[in-house]
Amino acid sequence: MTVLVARRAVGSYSRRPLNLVLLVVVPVVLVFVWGPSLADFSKLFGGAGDRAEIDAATAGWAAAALAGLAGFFQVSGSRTADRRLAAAGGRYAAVVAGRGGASFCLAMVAAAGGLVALAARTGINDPFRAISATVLIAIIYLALGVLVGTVVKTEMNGALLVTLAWVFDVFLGPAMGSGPSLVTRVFPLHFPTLVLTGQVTGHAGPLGDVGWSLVWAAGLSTLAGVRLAITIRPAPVPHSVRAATANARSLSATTAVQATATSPLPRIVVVANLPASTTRTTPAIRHVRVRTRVLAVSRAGMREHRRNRVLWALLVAVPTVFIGMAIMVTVDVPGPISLFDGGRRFTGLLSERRIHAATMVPVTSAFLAGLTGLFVVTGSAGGDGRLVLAGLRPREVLAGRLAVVAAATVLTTAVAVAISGMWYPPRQWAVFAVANLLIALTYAMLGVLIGPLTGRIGGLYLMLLLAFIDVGLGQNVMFPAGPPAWGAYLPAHGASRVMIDAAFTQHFDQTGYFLLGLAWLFVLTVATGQVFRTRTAMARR
Amino acid sequence: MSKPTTPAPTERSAPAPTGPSAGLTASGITKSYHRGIWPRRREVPVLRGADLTIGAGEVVGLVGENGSGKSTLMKILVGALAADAGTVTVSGRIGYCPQEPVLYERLTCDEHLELFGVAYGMDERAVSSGSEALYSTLGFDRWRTSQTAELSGGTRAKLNLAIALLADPEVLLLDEPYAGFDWDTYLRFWDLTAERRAAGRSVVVISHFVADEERFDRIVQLRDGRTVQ
Repeated sequence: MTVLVARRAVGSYSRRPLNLVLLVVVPVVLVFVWGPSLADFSKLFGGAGDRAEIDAATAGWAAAALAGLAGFFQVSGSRTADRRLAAAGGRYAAVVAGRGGASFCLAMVAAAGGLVALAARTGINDPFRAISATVLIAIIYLALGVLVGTVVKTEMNGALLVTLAWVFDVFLGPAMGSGPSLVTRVFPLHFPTLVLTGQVTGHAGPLGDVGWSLVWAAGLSTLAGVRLAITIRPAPVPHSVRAATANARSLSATTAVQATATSPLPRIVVVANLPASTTRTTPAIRHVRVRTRVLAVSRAGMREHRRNRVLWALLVAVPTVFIGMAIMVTVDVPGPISLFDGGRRFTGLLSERRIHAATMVPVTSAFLAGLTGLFVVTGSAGGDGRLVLAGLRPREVLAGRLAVVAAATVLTTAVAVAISGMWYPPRQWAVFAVANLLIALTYAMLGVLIGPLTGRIGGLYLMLLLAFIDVGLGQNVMFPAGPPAWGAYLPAHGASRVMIDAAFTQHFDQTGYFLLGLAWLFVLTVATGQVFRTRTAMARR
Repeated sequence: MSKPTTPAPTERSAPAPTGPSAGLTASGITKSYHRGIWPRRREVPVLRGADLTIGAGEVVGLVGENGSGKSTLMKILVGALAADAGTVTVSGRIGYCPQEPVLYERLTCDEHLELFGVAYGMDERAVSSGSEALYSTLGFDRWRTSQTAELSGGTRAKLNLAIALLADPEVLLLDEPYAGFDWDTYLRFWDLTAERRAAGRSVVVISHFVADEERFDRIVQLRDGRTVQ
């Protein structure tokens, strides 16, 4: 049974085209696209910035991203069916072993994906080190994903937790220059990344870096295995089950005899009986005002998402921790930055830590706002379609959803701005906040736009890649030569220039860039409306 | 994609009250699904020219084997799915009860009915009285403040049906609405249906139960993608 469960699980993974696409796209993007930029990034944070080390690390990061989410969705998508399977056969250990075996296979596939991309890009200098460390990293993240899958009920929260753990591990890890930091030593990938990149910590004690990596892998795997077993194990059967069933039947029969008459329902008067036509007629009653309908959807959306406490906690906690830690691990040395103030362009020399404090705000809020947009629109797709069938216009439903997304975006941006401003207050508070909000809203709209096209999982990866490629790399003013030229074509370009202007200069003089940012938001909003209308407006065709 | 919609000569298309009394008329509905990825992409035809007409005050059972296209036809009738070809004419509003409950996980029953009441264009009083009547009739009043995620399968099915019935629409399309109901609720459902028939509403119910046959005015069967009787 174990082998059969494992085979079916792997087969199920491979039958989902998105998994196969991501298996190729994630390593290619991380190793080929991110690798060169991240080496420069590492230098800024006080890392060695060694290209070979970063290249090796990207293979591990790709493996971790794939394995973590694969582990999570393996468990979250199958735990109920696995429990039923275990209950049916009475061999739950075999089901646990099968699921574990399948997960291990996926970790190996994830590791292979990262290593193949690395071999294609630069070749592998030390195959034993690269393969063993990448496999260890994949196993650690697989176990983390499985663990989260057994604890967190909703897909959205679980996928978000795994992704955020990965973001912390990668961007605040030793390959990015925070090796000496005490805080980041507790991250799962701290020691394995050092092994992978051939660095020596000097703080691993008698166990050594390899020893600690093995401890992480074995410890998390054991914990994940135990949690998986507890999750899949059928509930013990009470001794009185037969008697209880008999009682239930007897009660059911009694109730059936006492079936009562129904109460009359209110009648809605049809204002006009519409003539038959070759197409669908519109609803006969529509006396509720547009504003009332939009408010009803917004209120329901806020109620629904307010009850998702994990999401709101993440929207507040992640900017707090991520920005705070990023500032702490950045080496405080002066760095050049190109600025424009009072009609004069000049190169200023500012603390790298201060620059990083400002640039982390849009990265964090864009990513979180994008995920919120993605999850809000995908989480309510079925119900929203039914609302449109019931009589609401697609744009009314969309307006209600966007109100929820906007509220979440304002919250997470406000927290990010406040945390950054507590360390290094921007020169123009209001403009700084508005520019960051503009970037975050743009990414929230991107999330709403891609959600119906890619689904949650594809969208999650895409938002992660887009936010960090655009806001994190394409607009990053910390590079010695300034932001890369290709960054000018990406959505955050205009608002990022305004954000830098507001953070470090006294006067607002980036009107053109502000309008560019607004134009991106407008275009994305129009595109979002079109996609949403197409997806939900079948009833109006 | 359009397809020829000639009915098989040995079968009679589902008869149809025509004229102003018809609540819903569908003709020549064709639909194919596309499966697989190129180069193994293939077309699976489901409906090949289905016709259906439901008169006012008529309760029609839509039956057929598993996979015969009943739910697909119903989704097309309600507008949740686009047909490849064919026409659908509906006089008045539609109440649709999908096979799997389509609900918001973190909203309560009350909040669902309030929201859909606004969508139907009902005022607060009508939503309130309609909700009370449905809670009472379907017997799930005590769950009105519970979030959907906390409800049993049967109660979710009751809420799913209640949303379709709330505005007392002229045409009701119900896809196996009583799956998960207890016997008492099942009987009450048929009482509700009888009330709707008496009020001149058109009702289509997808059913698998042979025992339900006597409750329908007419049974339409889907066979080989066409409606026959």
